[in-house]
Order: sequence, then structure tokens, then C-alpha cells
Amino acid sequence: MESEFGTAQAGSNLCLDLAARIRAGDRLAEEEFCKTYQRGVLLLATARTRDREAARDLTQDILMAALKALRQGQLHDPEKLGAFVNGTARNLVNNYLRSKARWGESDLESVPEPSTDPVEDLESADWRRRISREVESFGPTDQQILLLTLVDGHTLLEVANRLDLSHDAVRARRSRMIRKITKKFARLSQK
Amino acid sequence: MLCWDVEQNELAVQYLAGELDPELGKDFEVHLLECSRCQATLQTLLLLREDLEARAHKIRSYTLPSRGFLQRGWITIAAVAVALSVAGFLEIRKMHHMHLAQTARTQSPVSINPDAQLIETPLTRCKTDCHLDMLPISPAPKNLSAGSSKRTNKPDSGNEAVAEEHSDNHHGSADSSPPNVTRSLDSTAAVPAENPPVLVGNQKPLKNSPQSNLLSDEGEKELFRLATINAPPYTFAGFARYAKDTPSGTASTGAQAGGLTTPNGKRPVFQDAMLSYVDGDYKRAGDLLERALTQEPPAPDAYFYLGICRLVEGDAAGSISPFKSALDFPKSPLLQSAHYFLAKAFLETRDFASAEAELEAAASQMGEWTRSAKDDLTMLQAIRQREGQ
Repeated sequence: MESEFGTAQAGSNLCLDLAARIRAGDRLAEEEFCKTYQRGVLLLATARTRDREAARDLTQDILMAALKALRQGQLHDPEKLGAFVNGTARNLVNNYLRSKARWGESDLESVPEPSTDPVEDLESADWRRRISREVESFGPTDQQILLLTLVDGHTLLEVANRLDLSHDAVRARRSRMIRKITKKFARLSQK
Repeated sequence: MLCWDVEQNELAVQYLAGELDPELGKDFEVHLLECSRCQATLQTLLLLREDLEARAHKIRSYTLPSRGFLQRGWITIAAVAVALSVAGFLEIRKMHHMHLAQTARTQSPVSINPDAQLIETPLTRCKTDCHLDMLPISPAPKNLSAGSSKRTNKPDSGNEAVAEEHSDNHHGSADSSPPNVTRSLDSTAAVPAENPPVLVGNQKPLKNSPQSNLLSDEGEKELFRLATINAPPYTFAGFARYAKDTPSGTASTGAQAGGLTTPNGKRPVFQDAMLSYVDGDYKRAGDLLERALTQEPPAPDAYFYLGICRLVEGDAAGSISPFKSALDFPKSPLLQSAHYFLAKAFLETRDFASAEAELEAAASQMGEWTRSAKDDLTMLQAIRQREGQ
């Protein structure tokens, strides 16, 4: 299955080479850099913002900002290219979240925006259906554990108290479900 | 950071749930940017989170038992458990008292002493009280008017003395138990210690002297619990089967053993005995089993149930021999049962070492008595250790 995210294969040698080539003005190196980090950056932005559309825009901004800094030779240690990209991403995502908090006073944000890529939407919808079926196979308590931890952000202890379960039981049940899902779907999404 | 760390520590889940500390979160993000495998994991988890968000309303509507309900449930269960424990304790205590009363009746010479019939056991005390209730309240006879100091334990004067005290109580004290009755009880209660024990009925001398195996009250209670048995059930199947077993393990026809002929290899006397056994007439069953062992081929089940009958009838010492005979049949399916009930017989006779050995033998075999034998063995060892036996 094609993923909406790009491929990512990077090593330390690649980082060294990429940083040097981008600084030297190699256009292909810039394209390779974007391919390498696009998927990871998009995932991080999605995880932090919980907004797929905003994450997509942020990914573009992050990659552009990183490229600009690389061209200007602002990366002093080429081996830390990943950390450099991550630092850039964190800054921009934090800026976004701060600005979003200010925009939160407006109601316009709740209006859904259409996706830009219909093929991407179809693939995502198919994948979601599969995961949805898997979630439905879990019991009510298990679904609540997942909801309270992954969506609501409660700690395991809080969930345990709320559901009258032991801390270890909640951790074990969540772990079992996560392993089952990731084992089943992560391989499909891996390129 | 390696993918192995991410998988083992579920860092992706913790990252998504906001459970990672900032430093570890940064390391994870840097690793994620360059690892397609962990990207796939996080992508799956993101889709999972989106799905959960979409169905959040439905999931939240699931009703789970409230904490208060669970707590009330536990309180109810705990209360029931306590009530059952108390009821069980009272029942055991009652049984223990009954056992002590029975022991006193069978071992005390007072039970055959006409002078002391009214005062030795709770049962006779009850009879005394009932008798007193039925006595007319009348002035004391002239020959007893000299006072309580002249009263004796003679059978005909004792009741009159009691009647006098009873009438006094009706006039004065509200206490229902006549004080002189208690005094006369105390005075005769010392008799058994001075006189040698008299065996009654089919009771046989104990293997070990009780004096050498005296236990504390708690030990006696536990021993009583240990030695208590229920006669194992008997199902009518294969009357001739065990008769083919011999102590040496070689098969015999059974029908011709001892020069006797039993029709079609059946054992009519044994069958008759077991009919009585099932009816609960253990005395008749025991007599018939003894006859069966002389007239029919010796069989482990005959020996075993003879031991059971004697044990149930209170002849623990007499049950040891048939149980041991039942153990001479190594292929018998009653082998473990024989060990177990032989241990019970030894417990009754207070031969604790032998009882422990038999329980060990029963516990070492797989069967219906394995668990019971292990439990009893543990309890017996604890009693022996605590009592220094």
C-alpha cells in the first residue's frame, strides 16, 4: 500500500554527504533531503498538532526552514542533521500551537477543509477502516483504556483508578492491544 | 536509540500519550526522523488515535460498573464470608463439644456407675434439669431436713436433695441452675481420675496411652477435625472384580478360593454387606464383611469396607488390621483410600507417627484422596510440631 508519507532511509554518512552537498548548492541533494525527512517530519507534526492539514503545511515550512539554514551553513556538526531538523520542527510546531491558542477564540477553525489529494484520502480511508474493525474487536474496557490514554492523555494510574483496575492490568492490556495493532499494520505502512 | 528500545519500552505509545520525559522525547523524535520502521509504528498509532477520536462518544457511553457498586459488592462478599466463617467455627465448636462428651461417656467409669448417672455428661445434666422441671414443688422430706451437709450421693436421696434446692430457687434466687447440683457434679466429677478407665461396648485398648499424647484444647480441636471421617460412598459395580485380585498380584478365579464356590463368581455375602453399608447399617455391614472374608475369597474391597465400618462404629483400633490387609493388594484401586483411612484410624488411636506415615503414603499417590491427604498431613505435622509430639 502506498503511504501518504514519503520514504525515509538515512544514515550518518548520508547526513554528512547531504549537508555538505546542500551547502554547496546541489539541487538534487535538497530534493533528497526533502524525501528523506518529509515523512518523519509530517508524523511528528501530526502527533503534536493532531491536525493532519496543519501538519502538512507545517511540514513544508519545516523543510523549507531547514533547507534555508543548511544553505547558509548554519549546521556546525553535519552528523547531527537529524537533531537539527528535529529542533527546527519543534520550534515551528510550538509556534503553530501558540498561534493556534490565540486563534482558538474564533469559530472558523472548526470548519473542515477538503483534502488536497483524493488518492491519498482513499488510501487513508481504507487504512482507517481496517484499524476501525480492529478496534471494534476489543472489549469496551479495552477501548476505554485506549481512548483515555491515547486521546484524552490520562496517565495509566488515572485510568486504573477510573476503571477500577490495577495499574499493571491497565498497562498490560494497553500493551497487548498496541502490540496487536502495530504488528498487524505497521508492516503494511513500512516501505 | 535503537528500534529495539522503541519496541520494548513502547516509546511510540508513550510519546503519543505524552508520557515521555522531554529529553527522551527529543531522542525519540530524532530517531524517528531517520527510521522508517518506527515511522510506520507511529503512523499506525496516529491512525488508531484518529479512529478512537471518531468513536469517542460511543466509547464513553459504555457503562462500566461504578466504583461504589464494586465497593458495596466487596463489602457484601466480605460480610457473607465473615458470617460463614463464624457459623463454621460455631459448628466445629459444637462438634468438638459433642466429641468430648462422647469421649467422656465412653472412657469414664461414671457412665456405668449408677451413683453418678445424673451428673457426668451434658446429656444427663439436661435430663436432670428436665426432671427437676417436672418435680412438684414440695417441702423437703423429713430425712433430709438436716441440711445440705448431710446429703449424700445415694441414688434415691440425690434427686430429693436436688428437688429441695430447686424448690428453694423457685422461692428465692432467679438462677435456674441449682447450686447443690453443681456441687454434687463437682464432687463426682473427680471420680474418673481416681478410678481406672473402663472400656465399654466394642471399644478396644488404645495403642498409645492417651496420657502420653495429651494435647492442648486447640490441638484436641484440630485433632478432632482431622480424625473425623465420612464413610466413603459405595457404588454397586463389579462385585467379582476385586475378588480376582490376590495379595501376590496373581489372578485367581476367586470363586474357588478357600474351597468355596460362589455362583457365577459373585460374592453374595459381600453384596449383602454392602447393601447394609449403603443403608448406613455399618454394624451389620461389618459383621457380614467379616463373614464374607471367611466364606468368600479375600478381596481388598472387603477388607477396606470392613475397616470403614469398624472406624465409623468407633472401633478405630479394630479397623487398623483390615486396612492393613487391604494394603496387601498392590494393584487395588483402593490402595490410596486404605492408606488415607488407616491414617484416620491411627489418628483416632493417637498413633501420630503412623498416621503421618500413612498420610504421606496417601499423598504420594494420585487419586481422589491426594489433596485431602496433603492437607491433613500438613495439619497433623503442624499439630505435632506445636504440641511437641
